[in-house]
Amino acid sequence: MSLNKKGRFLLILLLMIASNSFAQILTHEDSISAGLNVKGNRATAISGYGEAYYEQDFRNKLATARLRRTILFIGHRFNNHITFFSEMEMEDAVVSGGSKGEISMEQCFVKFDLVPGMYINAGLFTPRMGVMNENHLPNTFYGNERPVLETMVIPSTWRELGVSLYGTFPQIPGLNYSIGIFNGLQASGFTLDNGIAGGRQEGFKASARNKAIVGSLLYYAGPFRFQASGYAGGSNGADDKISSYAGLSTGFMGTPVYVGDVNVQYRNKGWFGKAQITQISIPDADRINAAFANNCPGRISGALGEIGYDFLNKKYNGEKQLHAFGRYEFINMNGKMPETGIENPYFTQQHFFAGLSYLPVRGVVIKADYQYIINGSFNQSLIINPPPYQLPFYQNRSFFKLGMAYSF
Amino acid sequence: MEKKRIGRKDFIKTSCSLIGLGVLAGLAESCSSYKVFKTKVTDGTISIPLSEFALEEVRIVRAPGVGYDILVRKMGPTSFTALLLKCTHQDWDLQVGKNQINCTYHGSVFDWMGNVKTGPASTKLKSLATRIENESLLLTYS
Repeated sequence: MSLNKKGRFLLILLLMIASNSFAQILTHEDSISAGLNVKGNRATAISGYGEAYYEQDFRNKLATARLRRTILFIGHRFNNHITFFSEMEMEDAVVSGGSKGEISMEQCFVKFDLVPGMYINAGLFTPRMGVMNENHLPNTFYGNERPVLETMVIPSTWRELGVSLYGTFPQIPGLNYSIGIFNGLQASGFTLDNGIAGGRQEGFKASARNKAIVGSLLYYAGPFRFQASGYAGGSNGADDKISSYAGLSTGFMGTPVYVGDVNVQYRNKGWFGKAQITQISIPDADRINAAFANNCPGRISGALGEIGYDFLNKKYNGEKQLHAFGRYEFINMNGKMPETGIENPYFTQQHFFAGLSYLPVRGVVIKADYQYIINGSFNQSLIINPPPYQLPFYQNRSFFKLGMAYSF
Repeated sequence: MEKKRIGRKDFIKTSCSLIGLGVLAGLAESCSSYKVFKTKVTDGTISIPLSEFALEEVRIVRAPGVGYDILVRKMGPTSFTALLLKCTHQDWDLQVGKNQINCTYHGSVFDWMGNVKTGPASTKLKSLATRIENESLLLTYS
């Protein structure tokens, strides 16, 4: 296609405008501060991450290919003490009439640096709870999917609106704390199969009469990283009259939910290890079921053990990496079912993983993993309208995933 | 079908034991702290008396206006390194630990030379130029 003189002039003009516009925007692969000189202390940065994989389901002889998620990060540094962060997430590539993809703000907050080592985050963000909530970039964890524990039990990325203070204890190097207040959960979304995930509000006109306190201690000691996190929050913010009819307590800690997580990570000379235990307690599960008939469990728990080794560590010191890993996870979604609930042993599961991760550069990873699942039997009484033909039910399944992910 | 036995209690018991051992090992390993030296930036230069390094080789330097601490380490009689404790991934404050520097936000880890040990950060920490004048260590901050 050829352009006449007027067309060429317009094209050059557009390119000039575009290049001038982008001169103020950094696409450097790291750090908002990469361009502190752009305009005084101010700078804007764009980055992101994403992951896609092919999955083979051996039991059902099915295969799926997914662009699992893509995230666009935009940050802006206003000065040396105030910075804006945002992550817009798109899951499963397409969001339109009949598709089930999702677009959401994963994070959108402002960080206020008070003194070195102490800052406040305010807005929509992921509190320090478990590992994946903060460290969920795909080039930092094994396997194509995040651990089952941090999907089914801790619904990462678990973000809510709130304010949180982060800091360190100067007398004890390596010891960090966080304490924050957020809007609470919605008990109507709790279910046996998804736990508390459906109760997250994620910044969408969140009911905030019920609130949550989230705190953590994080300690670095040599190659170890220890973390303990706790959550206590209300899950009903309805007004007094409706709550009274529903038989639920309301207010700050109305219809409470408690979450506790302890994890330890070890990283040294190419070796990586992780152990994690999480438990969720919903003391009023019986009343939640009476109000919403959502089969809410009273207790959810999970544990995880993982080990990995980077075969290229000695040669490339992390610049290129080839990891082999194994992971075991135990999940019990119906640890304690109230009388108003129906237990389903299917959601008591063990997951075994083995796989490889190859990073040709730090920001790109090619992953292959095999997953074997053992689950309990299905409770037939949960089938309210029995179909004329019932598909066979299996108590073990296996999957193979091959994928790629990036983070820049 | 035979019901699978799930050793939840055994797994939790073993995990707790491992975590406990790790905590004890970690506590035993890192009981030291690095002293903070507070100063200011003058004409893009941070000055630290060399006497600060007479007994200890490491100082955390804090200067208003920089926004982040600086890890200064004496490598030899006239040789020093200075690293800005700002994560190169998303600018978070970094924590100095034994033999490594940690980012509490996304989990990046750097060694004491500023090299990336663990991502997501992919570039090394910013180094500040050092020189010695009149019994003072001068760091150039720009």
